[in-house]
Amino acid sequence: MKQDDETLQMYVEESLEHLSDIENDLLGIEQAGANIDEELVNKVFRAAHSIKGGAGFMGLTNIRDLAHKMENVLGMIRSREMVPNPEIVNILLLASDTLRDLINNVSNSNEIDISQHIEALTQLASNQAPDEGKAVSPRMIDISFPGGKIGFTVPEEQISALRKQGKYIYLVQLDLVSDIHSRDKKLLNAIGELEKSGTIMDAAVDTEAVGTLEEDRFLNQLPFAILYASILDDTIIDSLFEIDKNRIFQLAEDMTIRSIGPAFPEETPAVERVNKETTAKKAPADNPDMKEEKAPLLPARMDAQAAKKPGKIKQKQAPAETSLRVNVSLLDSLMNLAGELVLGRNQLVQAVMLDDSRTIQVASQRLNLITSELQEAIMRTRMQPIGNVFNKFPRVVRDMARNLGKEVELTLEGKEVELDKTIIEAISDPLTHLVRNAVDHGIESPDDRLKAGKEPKGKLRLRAYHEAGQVNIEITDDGKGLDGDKLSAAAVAKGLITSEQAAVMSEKEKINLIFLPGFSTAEKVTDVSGRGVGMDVVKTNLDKLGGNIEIDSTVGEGTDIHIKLPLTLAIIPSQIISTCGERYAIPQVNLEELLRIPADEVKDRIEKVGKAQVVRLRGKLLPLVRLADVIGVERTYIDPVEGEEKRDRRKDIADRRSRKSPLITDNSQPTNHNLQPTTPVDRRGGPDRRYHAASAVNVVVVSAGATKYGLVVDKLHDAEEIVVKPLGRHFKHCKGYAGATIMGDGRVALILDVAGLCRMARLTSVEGTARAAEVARESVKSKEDAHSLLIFRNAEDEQFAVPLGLVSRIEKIKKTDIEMVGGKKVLQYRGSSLPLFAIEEVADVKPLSDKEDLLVIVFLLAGREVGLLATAPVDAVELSVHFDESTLKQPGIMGSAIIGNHTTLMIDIFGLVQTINPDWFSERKPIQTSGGNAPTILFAEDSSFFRNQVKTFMEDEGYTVIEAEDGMIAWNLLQEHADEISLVVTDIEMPNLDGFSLTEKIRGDMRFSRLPVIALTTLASDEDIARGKEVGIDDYEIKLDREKLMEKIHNHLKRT
Amino acid sequence: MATTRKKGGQTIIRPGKDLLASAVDDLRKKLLNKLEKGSKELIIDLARVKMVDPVGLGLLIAAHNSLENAGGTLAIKNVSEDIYEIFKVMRLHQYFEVRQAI
Repeated sequence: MKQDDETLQMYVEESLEHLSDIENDLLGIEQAGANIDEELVNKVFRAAHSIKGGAGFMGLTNIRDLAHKMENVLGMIRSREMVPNPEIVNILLLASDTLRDLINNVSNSNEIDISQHIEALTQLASNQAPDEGKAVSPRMIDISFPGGKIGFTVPEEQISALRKQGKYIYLVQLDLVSDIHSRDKKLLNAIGELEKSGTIMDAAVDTEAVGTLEEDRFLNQLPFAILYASILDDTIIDSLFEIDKNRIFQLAEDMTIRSIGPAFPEETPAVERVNKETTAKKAPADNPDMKEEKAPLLPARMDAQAAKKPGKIKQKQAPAETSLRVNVSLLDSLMNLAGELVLGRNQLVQAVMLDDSRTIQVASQRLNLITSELQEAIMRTRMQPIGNVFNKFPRVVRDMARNLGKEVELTLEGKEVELDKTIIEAISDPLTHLVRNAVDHGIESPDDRLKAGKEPKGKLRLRAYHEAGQVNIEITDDGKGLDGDKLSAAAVAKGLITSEQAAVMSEKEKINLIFLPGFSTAEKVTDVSGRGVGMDVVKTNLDKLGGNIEIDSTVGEGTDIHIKLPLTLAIIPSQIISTCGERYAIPQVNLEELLRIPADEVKDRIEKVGKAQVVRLRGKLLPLVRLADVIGVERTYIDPVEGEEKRDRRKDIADRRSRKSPLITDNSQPTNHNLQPTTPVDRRGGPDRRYHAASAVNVVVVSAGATKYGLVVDKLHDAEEIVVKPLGRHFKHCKGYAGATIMGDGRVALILDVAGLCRMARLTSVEGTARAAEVARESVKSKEDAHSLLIFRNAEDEQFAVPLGLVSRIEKIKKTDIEMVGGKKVLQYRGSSLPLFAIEEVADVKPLSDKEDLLVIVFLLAGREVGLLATAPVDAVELSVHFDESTLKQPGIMGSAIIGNHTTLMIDIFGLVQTINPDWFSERKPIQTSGGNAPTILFAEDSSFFRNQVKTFMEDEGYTVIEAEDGMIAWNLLQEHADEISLVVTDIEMPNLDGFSLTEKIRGDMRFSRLPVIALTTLASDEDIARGKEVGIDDYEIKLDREKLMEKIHNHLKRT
Repeated sequence: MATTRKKGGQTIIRPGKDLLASAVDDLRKKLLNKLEKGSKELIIDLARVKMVDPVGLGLLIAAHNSLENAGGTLAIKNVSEDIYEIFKVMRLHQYFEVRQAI
């Protein structure tokens, strides 16, 4: 049978539309289970029905038969002969898949074998037939009014389900005319009220009682019976209906019904036994409910794979949609704009003929306006809701979860977000892959989840939303997450990266390894996700779309995939830059910010870390890449003197021009002199190109996934909307370009592929390298924790340091001033003898160099002055350094640090003096708490060096120390150990919660109001001390006088 | 006022106002009139009806019953969402042949 193509096409389109929602509707039916949503079932039924009808007319027998069988099954569900369970829905889903395939291949549909589905559906239907239906059909309960003709039949399951919710079940006889109409109630409101207070399980109008038009009965009565479930109990239910209790009956536990009114006491004959229907007899008495789930439903149990094989249709790439639905109002506005365009053209043509430049200007403005509006409107016609893609995921997730024995709850958000049609089509596969991955690899089996302390049901969330002109899609699961170390190990094992590379990678970069081609973490390739589509394909596809994908994952907690997509592909906003005289476009998507480093700051802000050049940007290090170097063009600069283009020989970005450059020669050079006689003679005031504005460095800060870097370019131009033209095939090896565009002047500008450039420059994010981490730490520290140190020498080539705060004075003496008295060195000093000692007396260091001029560093310790011999040069520095407290530690030496390229030993002045003069230090009697234990001190300090140091001091004195890295931690610890802690020593400058705020918190708590708080700090201006007093700090101690601190601690503890 | 028109074998009656007890008489007469004339396929068009009350509902049921007795059919079309909701709750959507408003 042949019919004209147009009719067939219409049928196909219409059928596909019917099928489009069928999947989710079937899933809805599955979810509802016995509690059938008739509307939904009807909808699917109607869909199958109309497909069948059309197919019959067109002679598409296969489609007709399949639809017919589906309709049969659905009909049984609708009539409650069958309770939809996952098995049944599965068969229906598979059948609907095949139906869609058939319709997509409508011309060949009759040749395709669908017997498997027909068989399954037929069996399903016959299994359910009443005579054999014991397996599936639930027990039905008949409930009717005592002696009444109206009754309802409901599944027992439904009743027990409602009872479990604490609901009572009532049978109510209403008369709408007298109960509602005569009382001036609105019908709809009354029904709404009922639905608010409970569930209308079933209802019936006694149509017979209404009579016919000829009679007047309908004017006076409209008997309406409802089966109603509500949590209201029988003492108040009548107030809901406002009717006599006699007309309300309750369904009792034993399935008998009785009136709740007093007129019918229990024994009255009105109480009637409810019939247990047919199935009750047939179902095995012991456990009928369980049975229905387990009974073999079908001889040929179908699963997804089995069903795919026989009815397989060559999965031809589904033809791209050829028609599109467009809002009529949008079409109207397009039409309007087209009209405007014509008018604009007329105006322009006329103006050109008259050669009237003013009118031409006006016309061009007008055309400009119309064009952009038209562009926008046309774009909108291509916009499709992302729901088109999202809607297929419930099925995908359900099927996979079933196959894998997992439980997954899928939430979809932002289905209405619109994207360009091409993008919608292109993201479908990558998204599906990600969703499959999440279910397959991300979410654990219910057992594992329980073990990990999670709910057995995994959560998967897809969310789409607009942000900054882009569409964001998030795929979040609460599964086991990605393990960066595992990933990097796997990548090394596969030879994708070297172990050195792996070592310097940050966690985020490790996770991003998953995108490398040839990387697949699945230990075995599973049917579900190992389809040869790796994450690299996902990434490439998204890259092609100008999108961006980022993965964030915490082991054990889940994975968060974030995709950013442009709204449309054809026209993108971009930043135009130029280097070496060529212009390039950088998509705004990748653009973070523009940075111009003025010429005189270049030297300070651009540094070299290893081989990488970096710039400090707000306390972070940003790797720099010179665009010209990456894309391989020769760097040039325009010589401002000769006006010629010259090769730029500078190597590093921070390099300045050499003295030989004509730009910085002084006027003694004759050429320069002759050419520019006005050039000032003074070189510093002259056109020194090093400080010329043109020497400023322009940096475009771009981001590609996890990596952010600065692209050094010559010039920054405007931001423009560019029309993307693909690059020809012969450019396919040029990795750094994403396409090309034509600029307003007709010249071509290449569009830079920021991610590609990053790969070409072989950047690993700076955060990854250890050195960078150190530099970063340093730069952060410098703000928070600077140490003031006095640097000096003992031997010529050994550098030492002591905290400046401990030093009282520095005296210059001659070697001959030292007296040896009683085997000890002393110095006559201010009328008394100052004991002197040298470092080598205690520590194993090179001896004091034999010089005439010596230095004595005077310390005040334990109430006495001591002098430490030293040699010049001395320097007081304020810097932040990392102290190594283990490598070079020895008696009298606390540790070491690198200061000014020298390994510098930190003097432990207390250790030194104590070793030499142990008797100076009065033994303090260790203070004990009432319980006889050593008192506990809470010590908050963010610098680990000081923390360890002071902790040791305190422990040496016999105290127990609880240490905290910042105020917040300290506060938490204090609460945990509220009873033990007898004193708090705190730093002032700390992250999260500083010492002032910590004290405030302590003082604000009744329990700690008398707890002594000593501030230990480098900060001790009068202002600070005043502020400290205000918040309740008991004492101030400057870092780091051990003796004084210990004494203060001692005193405070004694007092309490 | 209800309007009536014929289309093929069908008679379409379109009540001019809400189907309330006060309006029932007029419509009832019209319907009876059509029945007497032997119309077998009656369609009640509720396009202009926003509300029904129990008596109005009763009228529809009675009309259905009368037609059934006479061997005819009754369909109701252009049913507003609110009214359809009522039909659904009362399970009358299966009783009538209802065509919902589009």
